[in-house]
Amino acid sequence: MTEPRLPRPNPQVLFTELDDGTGVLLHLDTKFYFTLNAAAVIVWKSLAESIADPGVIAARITSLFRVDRETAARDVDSVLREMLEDGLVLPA
Amino acid sequence: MAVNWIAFHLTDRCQLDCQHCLRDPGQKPKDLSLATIRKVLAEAKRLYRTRQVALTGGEPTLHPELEGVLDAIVEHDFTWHIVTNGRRFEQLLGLLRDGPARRERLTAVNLSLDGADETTHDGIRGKGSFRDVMKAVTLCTAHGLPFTLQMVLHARNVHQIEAFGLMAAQLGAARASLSMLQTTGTHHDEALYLPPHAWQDAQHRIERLSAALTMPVTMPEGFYREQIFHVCEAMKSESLHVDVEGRLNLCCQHAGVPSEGPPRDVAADLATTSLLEAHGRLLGIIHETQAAKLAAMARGPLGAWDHFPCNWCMKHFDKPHWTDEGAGGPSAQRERWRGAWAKKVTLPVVR
Repeated sequence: MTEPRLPRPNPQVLFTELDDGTGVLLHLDTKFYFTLNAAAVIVWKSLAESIADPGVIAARITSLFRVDRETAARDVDSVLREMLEDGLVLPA
Repeated sequence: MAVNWIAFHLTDRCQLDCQHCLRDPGQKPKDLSLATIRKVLAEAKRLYRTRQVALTGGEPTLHPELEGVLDAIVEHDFTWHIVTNGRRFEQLLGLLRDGPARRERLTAVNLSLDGADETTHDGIRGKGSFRDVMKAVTLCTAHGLPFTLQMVLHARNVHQIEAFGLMAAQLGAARASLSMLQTTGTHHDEALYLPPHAWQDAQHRIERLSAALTMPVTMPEGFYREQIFHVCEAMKSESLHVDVEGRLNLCCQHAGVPSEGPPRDVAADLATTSLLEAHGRLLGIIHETQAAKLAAMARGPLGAWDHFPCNWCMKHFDKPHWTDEGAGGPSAQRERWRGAWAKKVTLPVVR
């Protein structure tokens, strides 16, 4: 079975983590800022680590926040879709 | 007319090798003493009721007692701004977090950005430095700190004036500042040189950009002036500059720059001389400089470069300056930081 492949961070996007666990992405081409909540930060960091399975990311979120696995998986999908639309990540 | 601000050249230390740098980091790095800073702050507050302090360098965040400097600023009830390359911005943020009074008095973070894209900026300031600035910009935005982007113009980036202004506006800068390159006294001058008409073109483009953007776009002293007799902020004593050795000197552009003979822009050592007495001596230097310009005008006619006030001043003080042929005046004698600035010379090998 082939593992699902995930998008990868756009190298033209700069990630900055803030003290409260949230983060900011700056797209160097468009100069748009994007704020990330703490869960989205985990998604971004996982992509940067080349995690290939969205289930692994959802599990990380589940272990850190009071959220069930199904909700976490849905949120991961949603964040990835938005990041793709905004050009923050590049298709696999 | 008042002494509106005091500029402290905190340190010669820097992590970068910018081609247009005026300092001579081949020397052992110096740091301005905290005792001198405290003395000057107390005197400036008492004498002039000055409120603003500028921290420059080198890279001021590398001053070993930066925390003490910020506390002295707070204790003497000054506001402050800092000129930085952004590389140690998270450490600076830590100092602001640890001392809310430091943060309350911070009026602006001036980030040096010498290109509107990574390739241009890193080509001038070193690989990775563009992203350092962008990270600092992001942190300023996230923490609500007002920031200015400032660019030193020269032949390698003058084509990016408009792109730079637009970028600063898009990023939410409080201001964009574009300044004119001063001669460095190094071999880089040849590649960075622009003739007078090119500087006037650049100036017109900046003025047009300023009219087009809602964000302020400013040009520090140095650009073309129709009237040759011009009295700048430093000559009006609206700003006083303390160099890294703790001396009151005419202006930041003179500090650390080689000169023929002893530097004539230095008024006094503030560790041993009162600010009042040093300022009196500085007025003598300023008067002599202005009188020399009047005499040159009387001898006239003057050349195109004499319409650029900082260039005229540097020439007057026997320092590196632009001429129609390129760079004139003394050369920076020592090798630059880690030798990176030194012209490659092949020497015979002695075995």
